[in-house]
Amino acid sequence: MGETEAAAVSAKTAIMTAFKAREMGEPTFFLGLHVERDAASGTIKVSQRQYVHTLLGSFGLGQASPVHLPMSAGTRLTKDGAPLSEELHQTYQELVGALLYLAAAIRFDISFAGGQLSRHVASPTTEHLAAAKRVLRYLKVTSTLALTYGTATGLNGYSDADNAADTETRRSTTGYLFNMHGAAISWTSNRQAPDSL
Amino acid sequence: MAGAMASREAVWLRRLLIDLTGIEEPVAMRVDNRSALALMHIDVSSQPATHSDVAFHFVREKVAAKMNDATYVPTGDMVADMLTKALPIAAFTACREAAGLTELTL
Repeated sequence: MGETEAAAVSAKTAIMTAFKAREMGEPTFFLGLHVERDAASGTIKVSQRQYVHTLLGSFGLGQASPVHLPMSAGTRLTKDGAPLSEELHQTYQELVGALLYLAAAIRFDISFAGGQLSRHVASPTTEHLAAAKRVLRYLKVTSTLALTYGTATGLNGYSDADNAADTETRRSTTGYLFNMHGAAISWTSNRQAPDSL
Repeated sequence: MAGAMASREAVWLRRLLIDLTGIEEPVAMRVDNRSALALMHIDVSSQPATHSDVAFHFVREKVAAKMNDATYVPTGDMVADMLTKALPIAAFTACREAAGLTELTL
């Protein structure tokens, strides 16, 4: 037994005496994430298909027609439109909350759409609800997407801004993403605080 | 501004990486705005831009200290594009794949 392995074993014993614990082997479903590990190719895949399916069911969109983009190209959501009933308003808030949870966990592909939708949780319109449901229809076709970490090395960052494309507030949306071992490890899509010139 | 946010994240990711692996190297940062990039590389003492603030100085400081390595990338290869705008399908899919989100094959 190597030194590192011995240290790992003693640490494990210490944890198991201090806390109530049991050994469960390799993780396959952990904190809502499916983890698939392939020792032969040296990859780890993380997906959230179970959560997406539950979500589709709870919003009654199991039968909805699929789309391949979370938001159609060039979409700009504005404040204008017919406001939602109180009941639908709550539905909207729940839906956006769920989308943001996914976007924060592994689905950075809906990060931008989720961020745009979340700007309207205070007074959503029918248009916003339709846009939110569209994201669900996108998730339906892409539920099996997984972050795939491989053997590639190095930490790579990408940073971008849209130069005050929001015509209502004149504020910019910033996005950054860091890749490591071939997949994203950290990202954000955020509206900048001050007015940019 | 975007650079400043990304730099903050880069700084802590770099520190975490050093803690975990002991490997100390600059974080590669890709930017698709040439003027922003030029500002990041400028020498502070002879700085011509009067409109600057603490955030800009922060980014410059990290680049000068070789903690971040900011380089240009054409907009077509800008992975973070999908986080700032609603892209057409081809560009969207390309960004998604470049960031490692791919179809699960079991």
